[in-house]
Amino acid sequence: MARAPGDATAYTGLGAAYFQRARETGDVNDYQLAEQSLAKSLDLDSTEFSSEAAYESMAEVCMGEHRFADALTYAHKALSLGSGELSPFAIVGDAYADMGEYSKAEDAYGRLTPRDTSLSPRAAYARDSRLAYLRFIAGNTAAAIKLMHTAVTEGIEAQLPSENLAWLYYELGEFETQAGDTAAADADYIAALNTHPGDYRALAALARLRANHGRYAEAIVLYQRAISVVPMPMFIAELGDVYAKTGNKTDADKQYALVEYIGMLGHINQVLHNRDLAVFYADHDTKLGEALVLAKKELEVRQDVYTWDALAWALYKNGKVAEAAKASEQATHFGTRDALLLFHAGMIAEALGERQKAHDELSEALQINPHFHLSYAGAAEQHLELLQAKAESEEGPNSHAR
Amino acid sequence: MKSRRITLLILGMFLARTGLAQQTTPTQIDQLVSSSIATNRQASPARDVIAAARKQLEADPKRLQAFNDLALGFVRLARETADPSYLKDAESALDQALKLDPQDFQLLRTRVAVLLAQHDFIAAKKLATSLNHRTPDDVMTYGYLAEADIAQGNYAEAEENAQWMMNLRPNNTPALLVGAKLRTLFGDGRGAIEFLDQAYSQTSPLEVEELAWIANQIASIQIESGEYEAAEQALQRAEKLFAHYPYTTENLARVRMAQNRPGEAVQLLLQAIALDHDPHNLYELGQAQEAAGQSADARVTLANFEKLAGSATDLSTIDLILLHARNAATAPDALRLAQLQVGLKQDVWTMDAYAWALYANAKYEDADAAVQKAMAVGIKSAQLFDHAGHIAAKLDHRAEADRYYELAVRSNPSSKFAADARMAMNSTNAAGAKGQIVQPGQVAGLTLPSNAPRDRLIDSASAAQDAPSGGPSTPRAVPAFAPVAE
Repeated sequence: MARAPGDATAYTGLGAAYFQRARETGDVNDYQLAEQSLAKSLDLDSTEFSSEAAYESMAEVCMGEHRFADALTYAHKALSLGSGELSPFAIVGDAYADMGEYSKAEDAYGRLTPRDTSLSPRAAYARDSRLAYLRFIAGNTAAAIKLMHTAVTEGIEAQLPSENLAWLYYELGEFETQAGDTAAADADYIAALNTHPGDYRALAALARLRANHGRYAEAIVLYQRAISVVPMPMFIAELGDVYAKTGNKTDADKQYALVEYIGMLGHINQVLHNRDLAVFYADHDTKLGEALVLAKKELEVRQDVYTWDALAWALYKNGKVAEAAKASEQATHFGTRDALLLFHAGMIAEALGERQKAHDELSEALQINPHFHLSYAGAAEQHLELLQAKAESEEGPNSHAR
Repeated sequence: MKSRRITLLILGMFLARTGLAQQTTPTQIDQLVSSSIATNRQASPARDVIAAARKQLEADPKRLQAFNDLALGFVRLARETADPSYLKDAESALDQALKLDPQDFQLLRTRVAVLLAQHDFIAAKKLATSLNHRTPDDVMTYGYLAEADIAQGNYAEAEENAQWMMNLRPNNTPALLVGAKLRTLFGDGRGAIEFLDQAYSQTSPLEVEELAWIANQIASIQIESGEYEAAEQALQRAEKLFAHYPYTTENLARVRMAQNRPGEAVQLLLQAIALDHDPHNLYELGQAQEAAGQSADARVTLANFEKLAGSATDLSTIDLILLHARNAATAPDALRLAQLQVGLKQDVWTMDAYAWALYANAKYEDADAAVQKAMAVGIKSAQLFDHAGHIAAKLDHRAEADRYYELAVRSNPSSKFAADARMAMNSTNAAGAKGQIVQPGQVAGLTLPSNAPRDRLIDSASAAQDAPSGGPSTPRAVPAFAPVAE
């Protein structure tokens, strides 16, 4: 850039590098730096085929900042150049997935396959890893796992950067967790860490897995390592929960205070962590009004199943059970077999007096993974026992015998 | 015959009907214009580009890229609306910007796009060639060169330039569109549709006009090969994407004509003319009215067409040649016009029209040479083969004539040209059985059998039975224009 200040490609390269660093470190300031570089690149050149990379990187930055509509716009601009580069369809799909438009997402991912040439490993991994997520959302966890295994193979073949490959292992581990296969998930997270040592997502996922199985000491160390890389509010909250579980209230409270502090630090953080904060407040029965405000705010930009679930949970905690049921219906109507979504749905159904539904949802959550959550797996069991007891007391001893 | 239009969207070109917008049109058409069904689109991809460019220019009145975007936006708008007057706006934007930097590469390249849209192919090629020497790795410059070459009939050069496009940037959309055009010309319709399908698939869903354009290109190839149902589906898709698009209406009229529903074709063409003042549409309307039995209307329409066509587009010039060739009295005019045109360009359709004008003037040897040149490119066209059959028959090359008639039937079995070819074959066989030579002009001097296509309602009573000048060459094998693997 110093040698050729009018060279758009140099600015594009710099922007892409900032973006990749943001991915690896979670430092949101890098998004802003990336955006500045990419804007400069597009200022110099926005109509040539060579500007495709700048538009695409800009779309990725917008995705990172949860500006999904902007991401769509930039991705479409990249496609409109007609350069023959199909990867912007992946971002189009990602944006639609976050906006809860799953069929549009699937259509966009389908366009990643060129008609007349065999799919390159890079395009193949991009397509298959994303389709895997859609299969999971559609409730077909087995298909998601299968596709993600394929994506990992393709990613290795494509010689992806270690961070990207680690992300594939991490995602695979998440699906394995949702299938209740703890050993496979454990192995996947470790593979992610072997591929990209210090990967914060894999560290936290492994910590969560160990915590859910009662291995609290290991979980604490792993969470601390993850947080030392990227202090994500969600990880800090979970670490606090582990401290609380082990009776260490002092450290737990410190973590909870830190969650709020980071979550409110700067505009981008507030945008990025709306949903996590909403769930955190709801989970800890604190600032419940704020939880609802944040969840609703998030729903304005993101309408995927997890945002609906966060809203449902916040409504439930605020005693708005009927509204919570409607939001929960939105969260579960694709049939996603995510134990936490089903647990929330079960609890809401119970509050509405829909015992059979509550029983079914809670049972399914435990059936998917008996260790799906540090606290809620046990809670689900307790509520199921309660429901069973109520049913027996109403139906009498004969019914119980049956 | 809309498939003759050399239309390569991505290259920012519009096969302009330059200078027609302000010309007088028939009263019937004026009325239609006033109550036009045209949607006064407040938003469209081109208008969005123009608005964004203007906004940038408000902020920085010397921003060259904004001027360039503005000019390209107007070129696109000209195609979206079929209104060539927007090309003047494009020129104006470029003129302003080139005052700021006369050597700016992008601006000069966009100048090429405007020249192509204005059908000034010679100037376009000259400027594109100089830009190509300046920056030899620019994909779009190769595209513009290819486009000029296609228009001029320089197909080998066009193929080379198109291949450069593909080599420099595999699977880029403009290269696919140019490649599809060439594949069609080289007789590989299926390959052309493959390219167009790929281009369609990789185009942003927001580029609705571009998608509608590609769908029209697909439909056009399907119409030429008699796949009317598939063509209609493609056109329905185009209409859904970009309603009231003139090209969709015009292509649907072609489908209706092919389906022997001329009344509906007339209605569609009246709608099309309200949007797109290309005299070619008047020619098509006149033929549809004739087929629908609306003889008086047809005469008026074709008379209006004749008034407008002479100074209009290459396409309408070809129409005019074919129209004049229908009648012995005007056949010499057809030839004069064709000779002038062939001096300017020698693409497939100009050579076909030239051949047919020569035929109409009983110059069968020359007609044969011209039609052979057209066929040598490789295009599979029922019209071209039918013309070749009639010319060969006049030269008493019976076997060749029959072969061409068969090719006409095979190219598009349900076309009017196939019907004519069948009839010609039957006549030849019947006459052959009686040991006679059948001549289309046997019927009292001037016209062919009344059920023959109107394009060839001509014969010369003096049609000489010249000695054969050697057998016609077989259309050449389809060149393997294909993308280079990544």
